[in-house]
Amino acid sequence: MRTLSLSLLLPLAFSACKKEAVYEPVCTEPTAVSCFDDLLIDLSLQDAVSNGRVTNTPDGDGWVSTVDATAGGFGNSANNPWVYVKFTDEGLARVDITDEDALDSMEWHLAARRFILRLNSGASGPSCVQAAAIANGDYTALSAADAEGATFFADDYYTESCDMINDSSGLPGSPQVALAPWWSYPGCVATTDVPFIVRLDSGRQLKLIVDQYYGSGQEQCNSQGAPGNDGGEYTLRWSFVD
Amino acid sequence: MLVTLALVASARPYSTIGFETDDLIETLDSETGAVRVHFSVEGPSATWIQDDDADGEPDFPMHALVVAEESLILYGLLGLEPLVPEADFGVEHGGSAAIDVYMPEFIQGADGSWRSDVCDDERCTGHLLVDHRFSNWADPDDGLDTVVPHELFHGIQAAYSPDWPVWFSEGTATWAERQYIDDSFDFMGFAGAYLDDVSRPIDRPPAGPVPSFAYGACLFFDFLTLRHDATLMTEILELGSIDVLADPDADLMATIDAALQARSDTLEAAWVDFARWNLAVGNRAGGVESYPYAERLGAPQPEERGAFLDVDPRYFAYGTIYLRLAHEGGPMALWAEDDGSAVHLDLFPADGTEDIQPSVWTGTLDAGTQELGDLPAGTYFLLGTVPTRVDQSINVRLCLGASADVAGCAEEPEPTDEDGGGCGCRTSPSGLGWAVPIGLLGLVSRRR
Repeated sequence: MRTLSLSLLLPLAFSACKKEAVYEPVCTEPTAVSCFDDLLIDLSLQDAVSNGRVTNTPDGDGWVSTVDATAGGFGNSANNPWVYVKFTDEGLARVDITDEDALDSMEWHLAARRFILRLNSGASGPSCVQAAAIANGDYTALSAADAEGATFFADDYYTESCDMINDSSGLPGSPQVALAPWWSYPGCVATTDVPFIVRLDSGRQLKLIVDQYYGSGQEQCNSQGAPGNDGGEYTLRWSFVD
Repeated sequence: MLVTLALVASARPYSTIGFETDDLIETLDSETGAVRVHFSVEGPSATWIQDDDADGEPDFPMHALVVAEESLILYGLLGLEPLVPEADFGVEHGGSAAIDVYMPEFIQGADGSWRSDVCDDERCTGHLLVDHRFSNWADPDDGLDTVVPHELFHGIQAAYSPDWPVWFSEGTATWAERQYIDDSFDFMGFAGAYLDDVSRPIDRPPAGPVPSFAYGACLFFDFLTLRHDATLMTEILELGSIDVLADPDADLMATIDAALQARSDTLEAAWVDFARWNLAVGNRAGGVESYPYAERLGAPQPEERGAFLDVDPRYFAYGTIYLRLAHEGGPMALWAEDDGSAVHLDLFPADGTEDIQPSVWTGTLDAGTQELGDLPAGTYFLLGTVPTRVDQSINVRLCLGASADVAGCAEEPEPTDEDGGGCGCRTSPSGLGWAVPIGLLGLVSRRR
């Protein structure tokens, strides 16, 4: 009996060890979020947990995931918490955590509320998740090779004196997060089709693209600048690349 | 006088204002020559052109003209600087030296704006745009009564400085609405946006393109001018212009403090009273001093409520948190795990209909246990506010309730972040850049 157990467990143990050996962790310990009060105020972080729905549908080697980051709808997001998720082999998993507790946690990789996607790094969180935008990249063709030579960015959007660095959208209070290139603002939140390579704290990498921000009407926004419906109903396509 | 103009090319052509080429545009001039209203009588931006009083001129644009003139007179009586004349910059737009009010069709929800045409380092001249019909308003005249004074006040601000932080520019412009219409419902609505989020620092509106909270700062400015008089606003703008011209990130709460000290008052004292007034509004109004319109405001919600509270509120400078306690009667106590003495506290009882009654205890958030008195059963509100600038927020676990229950908090400390596996590692800078300036060279819009 004992022999049988060991023989069953060994491959699992080997497999786990193999994965650990493949990825070089970027960080293993949390780093303090530097502009804590400013972040709470500027991003209206809440002492509450989001119940935003997260779904997953297999998509080849990867996933198509939806994230409900509508946060109470237009004009109400300042009073609602962010949705926190992590990338797993079983799909995108919601991490049920308050905004404030998230600033102490390495459990999550990505946070979403309306049109802002934060990574758990830099000003946004204590981990070291980074992203590289692959301009003119083709999501389908992206591979681990595209990560080599790419420039990865953490969510560093505060100056040393904790003044927020805004993105180029022209919208006030929209921080220059690493994933900002996923959208533009021709009068609505248009998708840019810019894919990203995301490097997790574990060192594992994935490719990611935002297919839709609106529950419906994304194409109308992209082509005509007219807002769609249900802003914040994300459709994300992603796949581990190593 | 009614003058018909063609769509002409000028330094400020109608096509840049929002009129279309097939708009037939006319103008109305005030008798003083101070204001000219430009409106369309035919085309996409056609305004209401009824002439019910049969004076030969359309009533709606005439109403805009009257409101603009009356607002300027009012602001002059308060001692405010006049709008900067175009001639000071060597330009003449709109066909005259008058202040131009244009009435194009607005899209995307806005209903008015002030646009600066040209600025130097210290001030700007510009013009006003208001919606052609205010069709979204129950009474379009109410739209003019609200938006024209609001946008003109942005022009007044531009006479003091080209740039103001958004909470200050929108808060004071919305304050101006109530100077013109005493019971302005627009003012009341935005005041409610502030009362919905009183724990937020008043000078730090949330991110996003629709900062109703910024407009809601009107309540603070109205409180200040009710506490003193409306000319206090003039003094704040005068001092503020000096400060923001020297440093765009200037702390305007310090400016307000200076203006109050010149009147033998302090911001610290005024802020505490502001927090007290804000508790006694809506269904809680009537028992203690508050706004003359207190019953029209929605009461701020307590952050926590219960018969015994073991909570860890976070207090920001110039933010307020209310806690609601259902007390069974007898000795009441407050316990704090750490010192947070910058937090001013007041304990208010409420009567059977929730009307706030005079405070029964005042103090600060000091570490340890404070006995609040032997108090009868009923509802109590603990007001906590930080009436001074502090380097970082104050996050202290506290217990409030019957003394016997509170004693338990001191004996059984709550687990720390470290116990829970978090990093417990948060830092703040030694100083916070509180003021967020906006560029007034472009457009100041309302409710975009």
